[in-house]
This record gives sequence, C-alpha cells and structure tokens, in this order.
Amino acid sequence: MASRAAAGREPAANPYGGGLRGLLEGRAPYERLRHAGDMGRLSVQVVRTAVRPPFPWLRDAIVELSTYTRRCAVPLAISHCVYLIGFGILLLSQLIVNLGAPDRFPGAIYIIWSREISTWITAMIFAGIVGSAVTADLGARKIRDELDALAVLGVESVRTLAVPRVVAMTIAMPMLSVLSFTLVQIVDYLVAPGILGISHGVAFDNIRQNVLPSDLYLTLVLKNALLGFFIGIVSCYKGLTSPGGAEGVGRAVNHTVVICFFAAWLFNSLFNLAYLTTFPDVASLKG
Amino acid sequence: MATTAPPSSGPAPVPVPGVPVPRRRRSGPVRDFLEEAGELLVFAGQSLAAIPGTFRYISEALRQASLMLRGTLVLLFVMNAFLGMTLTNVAYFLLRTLGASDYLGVVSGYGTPRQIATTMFGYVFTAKVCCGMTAELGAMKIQQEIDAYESTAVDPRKYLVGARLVGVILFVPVAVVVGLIGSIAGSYFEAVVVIHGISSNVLLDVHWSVQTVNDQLFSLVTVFAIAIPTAIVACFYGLRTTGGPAAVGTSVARAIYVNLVILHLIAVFCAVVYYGTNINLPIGG
Repeated sequence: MASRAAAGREPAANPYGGGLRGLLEGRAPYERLRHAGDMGRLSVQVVRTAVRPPFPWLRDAIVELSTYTRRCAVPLAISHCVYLIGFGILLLSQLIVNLGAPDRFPGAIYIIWSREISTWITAMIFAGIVGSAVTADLGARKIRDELDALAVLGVESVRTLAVPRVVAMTIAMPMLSVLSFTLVQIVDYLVAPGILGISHGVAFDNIRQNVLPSDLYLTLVLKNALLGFFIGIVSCYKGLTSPGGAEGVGRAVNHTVVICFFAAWLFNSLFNLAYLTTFPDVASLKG
Repeated sequence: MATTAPPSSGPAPVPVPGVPVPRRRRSGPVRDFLEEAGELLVFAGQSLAAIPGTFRYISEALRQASLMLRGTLVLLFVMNAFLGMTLTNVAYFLLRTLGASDYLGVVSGYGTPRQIATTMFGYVFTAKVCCGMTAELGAMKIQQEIDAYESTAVDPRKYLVGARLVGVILFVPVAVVVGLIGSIAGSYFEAVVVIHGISSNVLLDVHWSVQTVNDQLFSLVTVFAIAIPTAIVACFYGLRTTGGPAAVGTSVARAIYVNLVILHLIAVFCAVVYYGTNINLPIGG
C-alpha cells in the first residue's frame, strides 16, 4: 500500500500532470471512499482466505471466540437485564396494562427483543468492547513493526491475524445475541408476572404463541452474523493500517467505534424495514 | 490483547534454596476492580471540585465545546434518525395489526424523550467524544505533556479535565434538542416518506400532543446525568495511561468498556426514578 500511495502522490507534484486522480488525492471525500474500498478489498480477501484449504487459523479462531465471549458476558448481562427491568417491565408494562392487555406483555417483549433491542445492545457492546480491543491489539502490532517482521518471516498477516478474528466475530456476535436473548426471556418470565399480576402459565403460554422461526433465524441470527462480520472487518482494517505516533492507535480505536456504531444502526434499520415489509404479518401480537 | 509489561522495580529476586520467597502483595480480579473503582471515584470527586476553578480557562472550555458541537451534531442527528426509524418499524407494524396505525405518534411522542434520545446520546457521546478525549489525554500523558503543564504551574486537573467538563455542560443542551428533532425526523421519514403508512399531519399532531415539556426537561436531566460521568471516566482512563503508544489504544478500549455499561445503568435508573410510579399516560384507567 505504501508504494501505491507514493505512486499516487508523484504526479500531483507536477502542477500540469496527474489527471483526475492527482486532483482528487488527499481530499477528504476521496480518502473516505478509498478507505471504504480498502475495507471491501480486505473483506473479499478475508473470505477468500478463509475458505481455502490450509486452515492454520482455526485454533486461533477458537481462542479468540472464547476470549470475546468471556469479555462480553458480564456487560451484556448487566445492560440487557437493566434495560428489560427498567424500560420493559416497569415502564412499557404500564402502557400495556393501561390498554387492558397485561397477558400479552411477555409476547410483546419477545417480539421487540428478538427484532430490535437484542441487536441494539449486543451490537453496541460488542463493537465497543471487542472491536476496540482488536483494533488496539492489531494497532499495537502495527506500530511496533511486528507486521513487517511477520512479512519477512513469510507469514501472511491477513491469514494469521485478520481471518481468525473476523471468523470468531462472525460466530460470536449471533451467539452472544442469542444467549442474551435467552437470558432476557428467563428474567422476563421470572419477574414480569409478579409485577403485572398474571400467572406464570399465562406468561409462558403467551411467549410460546409468539415464537416465529423467521424472527429467530433471520433477525436474530442472520442479521447479527452480518453485523459481526462487518465489525470484524472494520476493526481489523483500522488496526492493520493504524497510523504511528502517540495518538495513532487511540484515534484508530475511536474511528472503529464510530464506524461500527453508525453502520450497526444503518444496517439494523434497513434490514428490519426489508424484513417487515416483506413479511408484514409477522408483526401481529398473538395471544 | 496487547498489554505492556508491568514496571519492575529492579531485577527479579533469585530464589535461594532454604530461604522463603517474600510474599508479594495479594492481587486478584476483585481487589483490582475495587481499587480501580476507588481511584475512579476519587478522581471524579476531584474533577468535579476542579470545575469552579476553571473560570480562568473559559476560552479552553469554549474551544472544547465548539469542537464537540462541530464534530458530533450531524452524527447525533443521523443516529437519532436511525433510532426513530427503528422505533417506527416496530411500532407501526405492531399497531397496524391492531388497526391503530394512526396512533404511531403516541409511541414516538412518549418513547423519544424518555428512552430514545437519552440512550442514543449516550452511544454517540461515548463513541465520538469520550473516545476522542481518552486518546487525546493518553497521548499527552505518554509524551509527558501533563508533567510539562504541572511544571509551568498550570493545574492539569483544571486546564484539561475541568475545561472539558465545562465544555460538556455547554454542549449537552444543544445535543438534546438536536437529538429530539433527529428522532422525530427519522420517524417521519420512515412512516410518511418510505412506508406511506400515515399522513404527516396525523403523525405530528399526535406526537406533539402527547409529548410534554416535562418529558423534554427530563431528557435534558438524564443526558446531563449520562454525559458528566462518562466524560469523567474517559478523562480518568486517558490520564491513567502508562507506557507507549500501544497503551493509548488499550486505554481507549478500557474506557469505552466501562462507559457502555454505566450509560445503560444511568439511562434506565433515571427513567425509573422519573416515571416509575407515575408513567403519565392519560389513557385507560
């Protein structure tokens, strides 16, 4: 990449040469587009490397997966439970009780959580904790010139560093999302009936009536897997190209978090819009 | 995870047979956590106490506020719009099956100031402003700029931390207004322009008739309650950085780890304190 950047900068030195590229090089929109293109290239490269036979990264991927799960478990549990009890059970339930349908509350929680809130909180915490940690790790290796040392040894940095992390994040994100979703249902089943004045049997029955397979495998698993892949690509790219200097890695982590948060919301809104307009009947609250 | 080697105080002791190795100070996850929390609380108290002394650095505070406003407002608006779109996705399709899609404005009017704007402000503020603060202060710390300030009789707690906190206080009211407008803009875009579900007048009429000034003031209070602690945590981890440039990245990762948890806690806690006994919904019984 360094040689290409140098090659791009040379014609700009000539005021009469350089053409369109020399005119655009260095401007902010062009640089943003170039970063986006590089991320796309890295994602293609990662996918291509991941499916080709020598798999030396499998062990690393499993280790990374277990690290991410352990690191995210407690913050995810705290945030989900607090959100469920505060906004869900104490505030939203009053709305539903006022409408005279407290027996449909567990189903409403099931639907809302499986489509939206599970993804919100899990994506935010996952990007904030795992994405930033991976960027900090890879950026530290970059500025210590460890990547160049690996290249000298003939070790591909994408295959040994990026692929296991991206694969682990693609698996970890839906896994954590499903786990926290299950935790939310359990807490809801334990806490909500006492506050709403319905029996546990009614709550369980209502949850079961609202279970739709498409909610689980489309909005809970597929969407979160795609988000995890995206977060992995962004954090690996930002780490592998982290600039040097005192502030370089810190800024790279900052950019990772902002890009991942923005992309998570954009993707979540569009995916759910597509899902609900394709299958509008899934939205009905049964029971 | 890149961790710098702990600073060793001299060469490691060579074990001599027959002489017991001196017991090192006990440390474990619980003890480390408590120590870190204690340091953070002490730092928070000192930073809040330093705010009155920052008046002489008011130009720095204004500069910080302007940087936050210019760097964050567009992102805050767009992210709130996404959250409004998401809320509309859920609420519109849920209400449509009940035949009550005209009452989408109830959900956006109640949900926006109580939950959407505050939580989203927390996310944007943590990601954009707090990470930036930690990276900046961490870089200053490892380049010994903080010591340089102290040696020139500038109190870094006032000049760096206090001025940033004053900047946050100036930034928050504008951010709340932008966030509230952004959420309803997103709901409007989704419900009226994309889905063509309900007419613009029905949405806005119901939205503004259920949203009271009290709700908007509550939103302001909650956002203050989120912004000040997260900013303090960011400054704390920035000033706690030791080591090289790699440690700055680790500090930023650590700061956002803590911030993401406390922002959920504070947002929900404030909502429950404010609305827990009286949800202020003038419908039904």
